[in-house]
Amino acid sequence: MPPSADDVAAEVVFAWLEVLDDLTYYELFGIGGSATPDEVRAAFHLFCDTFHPDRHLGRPPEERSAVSSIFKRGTEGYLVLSDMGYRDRYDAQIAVAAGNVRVSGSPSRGSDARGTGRGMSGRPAARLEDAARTPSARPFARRAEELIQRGDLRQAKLQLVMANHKDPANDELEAALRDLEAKMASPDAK
Amino acid sequence: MAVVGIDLGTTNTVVASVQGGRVQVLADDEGRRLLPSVVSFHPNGDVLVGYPAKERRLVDAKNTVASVKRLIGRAWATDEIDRARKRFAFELKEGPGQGPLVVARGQEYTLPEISAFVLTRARQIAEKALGEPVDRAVITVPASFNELQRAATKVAGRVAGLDVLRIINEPTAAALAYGLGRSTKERIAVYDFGGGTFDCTLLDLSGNVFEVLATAGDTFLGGDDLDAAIAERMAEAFLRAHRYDPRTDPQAFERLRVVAETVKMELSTIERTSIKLRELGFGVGGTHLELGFGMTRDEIERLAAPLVDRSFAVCQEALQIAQLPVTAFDKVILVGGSTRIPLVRRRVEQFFGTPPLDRVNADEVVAIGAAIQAAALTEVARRRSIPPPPAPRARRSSMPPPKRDSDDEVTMATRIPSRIAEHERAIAPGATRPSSPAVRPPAAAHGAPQVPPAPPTMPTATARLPSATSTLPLPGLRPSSPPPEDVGATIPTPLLYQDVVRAAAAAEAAPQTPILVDVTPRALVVETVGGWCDVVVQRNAKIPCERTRAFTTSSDNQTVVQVRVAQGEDALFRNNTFLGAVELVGLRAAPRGDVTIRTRFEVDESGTLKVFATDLGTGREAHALLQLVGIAATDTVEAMQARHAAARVS
Repeated sequence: MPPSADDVAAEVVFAWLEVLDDLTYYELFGIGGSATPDEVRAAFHLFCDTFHPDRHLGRPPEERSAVSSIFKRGTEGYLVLSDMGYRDRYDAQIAVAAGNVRVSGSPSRGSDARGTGRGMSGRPAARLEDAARTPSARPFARRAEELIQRGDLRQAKLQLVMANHKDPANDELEAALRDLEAKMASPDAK
Repeated sequence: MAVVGIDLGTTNTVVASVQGGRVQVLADDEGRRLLPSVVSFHPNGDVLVGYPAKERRLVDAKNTVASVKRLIGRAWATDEIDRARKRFAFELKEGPGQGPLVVARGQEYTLPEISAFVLTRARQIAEKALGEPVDRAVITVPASFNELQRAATKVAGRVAGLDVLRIINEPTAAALAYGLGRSTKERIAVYDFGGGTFDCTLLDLSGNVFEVLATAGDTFLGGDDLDAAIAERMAEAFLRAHRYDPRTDPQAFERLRVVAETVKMELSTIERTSIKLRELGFGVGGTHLELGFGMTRDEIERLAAPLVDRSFAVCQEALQIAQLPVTAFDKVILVGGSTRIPLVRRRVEQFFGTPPLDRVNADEVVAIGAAIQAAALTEVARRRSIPPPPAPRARRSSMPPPKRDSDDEVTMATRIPSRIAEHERAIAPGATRPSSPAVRPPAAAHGAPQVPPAPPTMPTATARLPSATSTLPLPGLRPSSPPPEDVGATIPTPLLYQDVVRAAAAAEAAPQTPILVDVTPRALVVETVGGWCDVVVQRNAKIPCERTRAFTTSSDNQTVVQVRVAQGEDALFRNNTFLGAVELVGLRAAPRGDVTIRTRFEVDESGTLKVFATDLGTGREAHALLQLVGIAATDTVEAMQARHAAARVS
């Protein structure tokens, strides 16, 4: 017996739900990465017309809840894609996830740093600034480096903390901070 | 059984219904389409609603309740209730759970019960006009109404025996009434100046979808305020003439307010008016004192100017949220009785640079929109066909696909880990001091790996928050790179589902009611340690939506966690409207930071908030649901329904 039209309709809803987590917001709205704000809006309106829960009041509860999940992802995606700041960050995340772009502090250099021990003294100057991956962290990293060379460890630590805050989850910056703290705690630093 | 749309206004209520494809505003036996939102408790036990009640306001102000919409959903200890107690002649007292009660003829009524009398009368009018019972309704509220006010309005509907299909925003309803059947793309502004509230809502209309771009409002700005200002003028004139202040007598002042409303309305059409009030007080030896009072349009405009100025401050706020210049709007729709004031029309034209549309009836347009929405929600078998999904370019989640069951938790589960990673916070000592601030802000200075870089600040007030951490909803992918073997495992297809949708939409011949994509009026926040706020759902977020945050315990061996939720933009928690708390008990005793609590905020299509808290630390899924403060539980509503059904309403 061939599946009824209702079964097919349900299949499609669940098929969306299944790929939902794998779709980028662009794919969700069926637009390209270079879509203009107007194109994003038009695509979102089309998405609303298709997936808004009010368009599916006639479906059984299970399907309605699935449609609702899809729609909520859409409102989330629209928020991100229609705000330039969010969208830039999101684009960067997709690029990283897709493996198209390397993070600027390249992995090989990162593993070098870990491989050759954590002593900061052995590093060439301006190394710390290069380790910073975000523009806002860089000035702090540079300042920290200068202060370390001058021997003002306390001020250097403050700058490094800020650098870490501006560029979280950066192994190199964290390692540098730990090194500095260890140095400050050791008797010969006093 | 019929469905109706009800505009439950501060001063007037309007009911409309779609019959045979045509929408009509329903009139009472005497052909009146406005039902004054006034309830009077008559000595014979009857409950009068509408014009008869308005008349009682002059002789029995103490047992006549007006403008209840200004108070519904507000807690006892708020400025609004304080002001109302000074201003209104009827008696208010504190009830259980901070809910204010109206005392009339020895009976106590909750505010939703008072509104329910108005709704019941509206229902009677509709049933008579339609000749069939009415059991379901869409009720409108000001866009700026918070969760508590919406929930209380819903309770009012249920007490009146109505199944409330949806609570929708008045400006959105007005836009629906205006834009239905227009296929043009345009941006419109709705300037909604009612009896008690002002809202400015900006919309983008594109045929089938009406998107709310931004909304802002003031729930304590309306025509009532102008009435009060005029009444003050009259009282001063009377005081000068007779050395007696009618403000000391609530009954006398109530009369002044009723007359002030007439003066205001007359001055919208004529330039000058005068009134004479007899027996407003008694002089020496019991002589009657009377007041003769004249006013010109210039004078009333001077009184109205500060109120009108406030309305444009709100409009400016909405434009700022939408990040659009005022010139971006093609049309301005006026809604609400106060937009009849010539000064308002002039100023609207100046501000928006375009004359407002007056082909819509400012009093009825909201009820008409509500009726259209009510009809749309009850159409049989609404089921838009969905095209097949596109193939993802890469399989990003290594998680198993979501299970196909109705548990809505499941879909989130696949994404949660990444969210927790980015939003880990600490929840606080609930065990020792359950009412204490519940959540600790992240230790920003440590640059903990979980904390993402500060997001680009949104143009909303979230920028003022002390915690610089993210309010960015996470994209639907994991931050880590996918396993290499997954990349390109699926073939990207060039299919754009838009084409399929267009074809499907064309096939569904009957034109459909536009979809309303509305927003949350205010930010939804969680209390953090120190009494600050952490924004979970930002202001003007499109709904329905869902946001998830993870928190951790902040003290060792903490077994109780309380997540306190409020609505508003202030950085200090206590300055926002407290909605309620979710409490999770029986957590695993562990060092601080070891137990993770997930809170999920869900706002559905009618703007109703649900907050869930789940204990992830134990692997046990304990659920707790937000209890709104001052909102009656189901059994209380049933008791109210029973009492309400017994009342003789006319």
